[in-house]
Amino acid sequence: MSELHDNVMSERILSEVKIWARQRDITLFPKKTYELAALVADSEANGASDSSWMNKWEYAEHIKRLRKLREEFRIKGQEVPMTERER
Amino acid sequence: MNCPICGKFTTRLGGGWVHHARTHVKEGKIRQSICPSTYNYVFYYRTRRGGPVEPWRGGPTWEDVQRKGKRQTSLYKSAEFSRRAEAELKAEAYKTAKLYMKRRRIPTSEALRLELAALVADSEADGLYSLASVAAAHKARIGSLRKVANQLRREATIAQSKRLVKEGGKWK
Repeated sequence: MSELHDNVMSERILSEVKIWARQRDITLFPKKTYELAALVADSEANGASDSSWMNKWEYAEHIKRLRKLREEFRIKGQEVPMTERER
Repeated sequence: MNCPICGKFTTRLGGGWVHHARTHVKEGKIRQSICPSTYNYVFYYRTRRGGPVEPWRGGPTWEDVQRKGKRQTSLYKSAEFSRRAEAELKAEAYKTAKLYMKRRRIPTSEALRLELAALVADSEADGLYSLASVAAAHKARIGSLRKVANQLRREATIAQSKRLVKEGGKWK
């Protein structure tokens, strides 16, 4: 269940970033896409941690999941090689 | 009035009960209070041992905290308070986006930086909104974040059009 949730969240964030770039006619290479996805996940986690329900179990889990996603995106961003065009 | 949890002296603040700063405050705690009647005003502050309450991210100043009773509630409804909170949110979102790109050495134009700051503000609002059950309590903050995101986006469009007029071309 948790893994499924992670995948759904990861897909959602990635597609949000892609849509955001497409709407603005910004060329996003994979490396940059992952970096921006990490930024989005981090900001969402910061927003969620503003809550006074911070100690509530669901919220803590939600924030933990977002922080984990941020790390994953960052690692993926580092692993993906730069394209010729990007260089 | 005594604190309902520990029984020690408390100060009434915007409808919620806050432990008195000089009686028993643990250092560095981030506290938040919500007006229970309107569920519209959320404020944050960081406590400091033996000292005054330190304002936290768009929260009230120590002077604000000292004012008690109904005037307190109206303060958070005032336009001046929300303007101050929005300015802080905006600066923070911009700083986050700028630092993020700088650390990763990703070259950005001013317009793109502003767009990214808008993306950050929007994502923070999404994060707050993520649990439907608590969204009502954070209505004001979510609203401020969305407003800030729109402002930043407008500024980005202006910056971008200026750049386009000057140099021509696409987003960088």
